[in-house]
Amino acid sequence: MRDLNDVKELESLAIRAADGDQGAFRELVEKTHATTYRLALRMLGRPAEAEDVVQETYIRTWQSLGKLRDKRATLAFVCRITRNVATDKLRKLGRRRIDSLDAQIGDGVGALVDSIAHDGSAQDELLESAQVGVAVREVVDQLKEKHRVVLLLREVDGMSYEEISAALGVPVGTVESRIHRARKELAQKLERLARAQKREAA
Amino acid sequence: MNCRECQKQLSDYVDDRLDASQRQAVDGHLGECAECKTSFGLLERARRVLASEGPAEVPGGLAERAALAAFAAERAQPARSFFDRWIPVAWPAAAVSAAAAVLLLLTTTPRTTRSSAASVTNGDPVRVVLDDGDNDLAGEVLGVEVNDEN
Repeated sequence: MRDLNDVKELESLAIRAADGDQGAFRELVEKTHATTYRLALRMLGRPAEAEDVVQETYIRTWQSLGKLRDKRATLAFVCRITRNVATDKLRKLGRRRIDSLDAQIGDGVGALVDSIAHDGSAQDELLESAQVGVAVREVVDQLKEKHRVVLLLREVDGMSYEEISAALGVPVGTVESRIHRARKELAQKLERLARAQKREAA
Repeated sequence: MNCRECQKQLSDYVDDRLDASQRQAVDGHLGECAECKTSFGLLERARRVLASEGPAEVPGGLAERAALAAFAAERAQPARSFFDRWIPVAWPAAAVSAAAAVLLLLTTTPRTTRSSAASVTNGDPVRVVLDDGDNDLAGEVLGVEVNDEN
């Protein structure tokens, strides 16, 4: 759901859905599932697992919507269920998020450092190549989960600070500070990576 | 502006969230500090790499599948639906019956056996079932409303 000013409409759908109106529930799912899917995807990393999380999210939402007192908080409620389901899934799988690009990451980092070693001035071209994209993702994957999820929702999905705040159930100020930390760490890690390789090459 | 201040403002700078004077100060520092400029350049290009992936495509038909899964899951739980429907009615009825039984026991049983009758009432199995049911529901709501984001 991209338009967060649509709270009123979502509230009205939630009230009807809580009374058993399946049509209203379908609309509610239609309006919120892009946000819940992206949130699950950024937490888990795999589309198939994110899809499972979304389905489980709406099973629980349909069962428990009647207990949500303030229906204006419907999006936050649904997103919270998504986070709980995704967290449970991560715990059950006994691993941290695995990205579909994992297999290529080693090569990507190698390409980044090799190219920097051979031509320190080529950073610009380098960072735009496909392999470097993989290297950037490797660095992103090393970030703490709370920083990584916020960064991906912002940079990849293009969500606003307010949308991320609603999806994660944290204040906008917290979103700001997490994005700030994530970006700072991202730049520092990339810089260290490039410097280390230059030293090795020298 | 020094490097530390510049680094602190960089995130708001790339998101265009600074006012004109703050933006000018960052611009000025980036113009004269090679280290901060490199750091900014790396961040900008990393952002471009991430943005080039584009927003995640939501699988077609996902909303419909999720809604149908919710309706199907409800149909697959007849026992739960039954209790959800009848417990609100059954509980007051059971409570009234239990109270009547206790009253009957108290008025018809010899004094020496009253305490054992009362202890049976305290262990009323209907009460135990209801508590379990309530806890399940409370847990579901608490799981959703209390567990906070890290």
